[in-house]
Amino acid sequence: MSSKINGQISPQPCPHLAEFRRNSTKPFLALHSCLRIKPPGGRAALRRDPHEVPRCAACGLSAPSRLLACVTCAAISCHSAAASHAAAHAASMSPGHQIAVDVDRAELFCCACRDQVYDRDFDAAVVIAQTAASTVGESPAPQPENLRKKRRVDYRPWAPDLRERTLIGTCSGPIYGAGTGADPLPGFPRGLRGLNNLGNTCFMNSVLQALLHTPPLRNYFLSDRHNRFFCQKRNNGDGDGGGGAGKRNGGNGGNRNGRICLACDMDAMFSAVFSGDRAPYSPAKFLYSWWQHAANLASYEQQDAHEFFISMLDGIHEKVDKGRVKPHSEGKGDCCIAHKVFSGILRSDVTCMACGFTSTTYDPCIDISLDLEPNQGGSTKMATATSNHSCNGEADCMNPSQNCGTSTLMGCLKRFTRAERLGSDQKFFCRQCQVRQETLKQMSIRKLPLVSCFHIKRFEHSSTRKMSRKVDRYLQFPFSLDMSPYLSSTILRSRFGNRIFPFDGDEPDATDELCSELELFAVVTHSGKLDAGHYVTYLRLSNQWYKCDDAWVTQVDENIVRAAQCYMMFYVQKMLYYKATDKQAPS
Amino acid sequence: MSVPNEENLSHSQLSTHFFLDLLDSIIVDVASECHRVARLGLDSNLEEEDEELKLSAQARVRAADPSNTNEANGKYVVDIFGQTHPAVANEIFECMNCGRSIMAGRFAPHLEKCMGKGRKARLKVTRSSTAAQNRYSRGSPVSTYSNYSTNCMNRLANGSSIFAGDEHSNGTLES
Repeated sequence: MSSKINGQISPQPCPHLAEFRRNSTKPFLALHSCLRIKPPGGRAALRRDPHEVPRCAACGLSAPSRLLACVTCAAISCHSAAASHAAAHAASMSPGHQIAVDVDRAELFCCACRDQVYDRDFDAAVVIAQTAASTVGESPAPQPENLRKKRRVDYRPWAPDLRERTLIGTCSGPIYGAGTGADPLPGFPRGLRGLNNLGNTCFMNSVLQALLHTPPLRNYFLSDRHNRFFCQKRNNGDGDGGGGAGKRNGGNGGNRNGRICLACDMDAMFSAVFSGDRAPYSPAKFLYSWWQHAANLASYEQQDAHEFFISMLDGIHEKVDKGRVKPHSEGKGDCCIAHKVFSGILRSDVTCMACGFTSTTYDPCIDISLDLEPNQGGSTKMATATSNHSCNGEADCMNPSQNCGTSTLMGCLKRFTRAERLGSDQKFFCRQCQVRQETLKQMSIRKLPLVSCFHIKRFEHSSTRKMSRKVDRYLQFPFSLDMSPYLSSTILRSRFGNRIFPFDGDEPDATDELCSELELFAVVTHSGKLDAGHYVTYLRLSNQWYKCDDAWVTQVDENIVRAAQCYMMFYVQKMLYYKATDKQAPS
Repeated sequence: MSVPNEENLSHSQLSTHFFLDLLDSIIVDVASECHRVARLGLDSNLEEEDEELKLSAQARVRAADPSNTNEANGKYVVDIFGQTHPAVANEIFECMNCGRSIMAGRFAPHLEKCMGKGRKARLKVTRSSTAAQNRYSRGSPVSTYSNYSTNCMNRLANGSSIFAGDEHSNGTLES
C-alpha cells in the first residue's frame, strides 16, 4: 500500500494521480506561486490572488465542504459528499482533469476516486513555502554540531586475537564461575548486590544501583575503559593536587589516596559489585569523593536522589582533564562516559504569534524533568468507553473523551512537548516584527540519548509560601516506551501539517524507528513523607524484577513495580547502532 | 459566504446557515488531517499503550490487596541470597579521612564531622556547576533550606533542571 522513503511512508498513488504525474513534466509547478501561508500556525491555502474569494464555477457557492481547483485547468468546483461539481468536471473534461487541490487546505484530491491523495513533490512545495514564511530573511537554524550525519556502519563482532587472548588469560580472572567459591550461589544475575546504608544514604544507593545496571555504563567500566590504577598513577605523577579538574580535598589533612576521581571510585564499585561476592557493599569511598566534589551537598541528611544523580554525573565529567577535552556545553557529548550515555539534545522553538517567525535553539540535556499533570485531570491516550468524567475545562485537556483518572508518563511527555502559549508577561522580541510579541513555545527531543532518565518533579518548593510539599499522585509508566511522538522530526512534521518531507532529525534509514524504542531497566521510587522518606530501586535483569532496598535485594513480581510510586525512570534504547568514526583503529 | 437561495430568511436562519457552513468546514479540516495521519501511517501504536495502561491498573489493584503487603512494607526475612542484614549496617572499615575504624551504618555522620562539613560548618552555597546555562532554563541553583532542622530531610531543591520544562517557583539562594 505504501513504501518508505527517507523513513517516511509514501503512499502508493491512485491510478489517476500516477497517470497525471506521468503526463506532466513538472507537476504542481504552477501551484508554487499560489501557496499562501497564514501565520502563526503556517496553515497553507491556495489563492491566485491574495484577496481572491474562490467560488465554484458551476454553482457560485463559496462555502461548501471543499472547493477544489483542477490542477490541469484551474477551474474551481465544489465538492461535498452529497453533491460534487468537481466530480462532474472530472468526468466531463477529457482525461487529465481528475486531480484537483483543495484550495483551503492545500490537499490533493482525486475526483474520480473521491478521496484525498498524497504526493511527495506537492508536499515538498508546501513545506518549502511554510518554511520560508517562518524564517523570512534568515537561513534556517543551524544543525547542532555533533549531529553532522555520520554514516551508519554494520556491527562487526569482536574476537580477541592471539596477543589479546594471552593478555586476557594472564591479567584477568572470570567474573564468577557459577557455583564456585567466588559466587557460591549460581543462577542470580551478575552484579546484583546490596549496598549498605551509611546513614541516610538511600538516596545515593538507589541511584548507584540504577547506574550499576545501566548497560552502556556497566559495559564501559567492566571493559576496563577507566582503569583506576592507571588513572591514579597518572594523576599522582602529574603532581598531587595539581591544576585541571583537581577538587578541594576537604581540608583536614586532605586525601591520602591521590586525586579525587569519581570515575575511579565507580570503577572500584563495579569491580566489587560484579565480583560475585554477594555480601552488601559499602560505597564509603564513593561518598567521601562525592562530598569533596559537591561540597555544598556534603552533610549527613537525606538528600534528593535526582540532585545526587546530576551532581555525580557532573563529577565524572569534570574529572576529565579540561585541557584536552571540550566542555559539555558544546553539546558534543563525547567528553566523558557520563555524557556519552546520558546526554541528549533538546530543541526549543519559539514562534511569534503575529508573524509566524520561529526561532530555534538547541541545548544539551542529561535527563528530562517532568511535571506531574495538574489536578486530577490527567490525560491518557484512549477514549475509553468507561470514562464518564469531563475534564475540568483545563486548557491542556483538549479531548473531552479522554480518561481523566490516571496520570501517565506519556501524558507528561506529551505535555512537555506541547505547543505552549507563553503569557503576555513573557513577550519575546520578534526579529521580524521588531517588537515584543506573544509567542508560542514548543520543546522536542532532537537527539535521544542512549539512556534516558526521566525525573518526576514530586518535590515542590514554594519560596513565597515558605513551604514544600511532595506530590504523591500515582504516575503510570510503561515497560516499553516509544519516543517517536516526542522527537523533533515528528513534532516538526506535525507542525507542518504532517507533510511527506524529510524533517530535521529524520534519519535516512528505514529502520530508524527502532532508535526511538526504549526499554525500562531501573526505577527509583520514593515512599513516605517529604522529610522522612525512603528511596528504593527496582532493577530489571533478564526480564526479572529485583528490589534493591539498601542492603536488601529481593525478587519481586512486576506488578509491584508497576504499582510503585516512580521518581526516576531509566530507559535504554532497544537497538544500538554503530556510526563510522573518524578515529583510526588501533593497530 | 454563500447565500442560500430563498430570499426571505430570517436573521436567525441565516446565522444558523452560516454557522453550519463553518462547522462543516471544521469537520472536514479534522477529517482531512486524520485521513493524512492514517494514510501516512503516522498514528502511534495505540494498542500497546492501552495494554500497558491495563496492566498498570491491574497491578495497582493487586498491590492494594492486603494479602500482598509483605514486600511493600519492607519487612524482610532473608534476601534472595539467603542473607539477613541488621537495621544498621555493621561492616567495619577504616575512615579514609582520619583512619579510624568506623561502622558502616554510622559512617556518614562520622565523615560529616571528620571532614568539617555539616549544617553548622556548611560552605556557601554555589550554583551547581551542572546547570548548563540554557537560555530557557529558569531552574534554580542548588538551594538549601536551613529552616528545616530535622535529622532526616529530603533535599528539596527543584532539581538542577538543565533545561526548560514548565517553571516552578524557585527556591531562594541562601548565603
